[in-house]
Amino acid sequence: MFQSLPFIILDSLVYASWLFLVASGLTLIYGVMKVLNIAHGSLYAFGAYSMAWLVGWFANIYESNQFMYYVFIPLSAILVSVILSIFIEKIFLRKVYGRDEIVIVLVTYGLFLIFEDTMKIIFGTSSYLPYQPRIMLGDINIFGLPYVVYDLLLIVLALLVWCLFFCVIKFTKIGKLLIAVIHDSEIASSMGINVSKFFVYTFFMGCFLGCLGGAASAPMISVVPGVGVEIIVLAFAVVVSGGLGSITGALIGALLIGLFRTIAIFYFPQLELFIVFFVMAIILTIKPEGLFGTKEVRKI
Amino acid sequence: MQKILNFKESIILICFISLMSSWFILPDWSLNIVCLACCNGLVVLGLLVLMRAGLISFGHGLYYCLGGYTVAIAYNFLNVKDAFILLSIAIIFGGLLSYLLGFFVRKFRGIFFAMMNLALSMILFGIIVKSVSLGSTDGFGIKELTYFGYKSSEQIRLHIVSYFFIISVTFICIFLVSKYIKSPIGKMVLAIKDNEIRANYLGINVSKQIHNIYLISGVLASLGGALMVILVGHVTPEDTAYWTKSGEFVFVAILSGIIHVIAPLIGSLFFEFIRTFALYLFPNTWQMTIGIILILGIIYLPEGIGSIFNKIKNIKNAFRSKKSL
Repeated sequence: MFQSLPFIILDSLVYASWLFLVASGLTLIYGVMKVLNIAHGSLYAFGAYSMAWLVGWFANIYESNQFMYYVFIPLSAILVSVILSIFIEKIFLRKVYGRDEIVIVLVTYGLFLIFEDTMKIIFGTSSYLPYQPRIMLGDINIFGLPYVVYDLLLIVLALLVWCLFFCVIKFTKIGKLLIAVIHDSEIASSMGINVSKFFVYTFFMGCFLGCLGGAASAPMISVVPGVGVEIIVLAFAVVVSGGLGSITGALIGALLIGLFRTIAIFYFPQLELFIVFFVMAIILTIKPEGLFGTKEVRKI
Repeated sequence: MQKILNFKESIILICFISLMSSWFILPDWSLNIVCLACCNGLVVLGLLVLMRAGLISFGHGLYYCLGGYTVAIAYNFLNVKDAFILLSIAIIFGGLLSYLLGFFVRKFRGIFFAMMNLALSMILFGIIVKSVSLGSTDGFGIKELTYFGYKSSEQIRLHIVSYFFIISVTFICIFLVSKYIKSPIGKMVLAIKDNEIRANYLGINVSKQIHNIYLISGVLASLGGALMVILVGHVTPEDTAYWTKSGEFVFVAILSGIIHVIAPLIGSLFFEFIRTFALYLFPNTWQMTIGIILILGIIYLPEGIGSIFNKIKNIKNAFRSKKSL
């Protein structure tokens, strides 16, 4: 039983870092803007599609210069997120700030429906398999079994993202201002912080992380219509069980859910779909505001 | 002079009569859509009851699915063939599950309430998809039914008796909910929405009230699912318990608003027809059409379809006061 333990840990780390890359953007946007963005799933899918398309296009034209594949990951993420974040924030979300949280969720749900069809129009319905970047790095032997290097690099990427966030929020001026905006955006704006500018940049950052998650995981999956539908509920589970608005919470939530899912896959494969939400339900029953969530002060 | 029916009840009666008579007027293809809208309208009605307390569930597909599966299982394994008994079984099971889950769910508010329900419905989805004996992703089918012992000689599923059955059940529920909303207990819920702590200090048992409305909405949603199976004859987990279906219900609920009890039915009629026409006219971009309508509805009709009735009422009152002058 215990000889598969290293693989459980490795698999769960890979899965958790995949989840964290997507969920961190979601939780960031919620923390600052109080918008639970369902369209995040579409951003993930857009990132994955644009990465797949770029890789396919590049592989046809240039045989050499293969390191370019890795440049495409951030490139496609920036490209997609710049266009889409401006589109979503400036045109749609501006109109509904201040309404009920659920109404804003519904607006992003509408955007999600729109993007689902847009993707089919732009990229078609056939599947893309941008496997080249993953194959190129090859395998390494871990405890006698080959493991794909690319997957391990995903863990590094997720850790990098978390460290960056942690340092920016803890040690820079922008981070301090951001905490003020998170705490109370009205007071913050009366103190002279340009809150709407913060909203734009935060939304861009969150979208970038979603697209980055999509682009980085595109070589590991087959990019088909509907990838966004599956990922967004998983990301919700991670974000809610970690505590809405907490980056560290998203990391811990992703690790927990990744671990339990991998254990379930190794020992009780029947439970795979069930376990993610079961873990979430258990966490919420024990701690209703999530692991790192702050308790809301109710006003009389 | 004492009025026999007030404004809201007369609207319900008008809608009931017009839907009943539409069997003889509307073309055949649209009757199925009307019935489907009634089934989904019941779920949305359940969401309306929750929304009056400011709660939205992103997982009422759970009860929709449960009602559907209860009917299909009772039909296939227990050999129950009568539609009325099948509905009763679905109500019992829906009520039982929502009563039990209510103990967990009533602690949560706002986005956590929505997400907890989402998790519960996805758990049910996971269970059904992975259990082969429940038909996995293929689901179940049922064959012909009897209605209070009456058996249709026709082969089609939607005949005049089943049509009237579905419409009547829907309107009985709408009528009961409108009675509930007008009762003191129903009005308490609005106080909870405005300010929970104040309501608590005034002596309202908030968690019990939330539990009650959760129970009501669960029963209504499972009834909707059961009627859906009776109408369509098939139930799959993908079309009932998956989060996109629940999202659809919330979508219709938000568009309908909480002002009038008939609004969920009209909202879901509107939605089903929009979807049918969108599928027919833009087969590749029907989701996009629905998304655009949703966003436009939220921005330009913030109180929902139900607010239209209030506007009519205001005009009527203004007219009447002018007359009395």
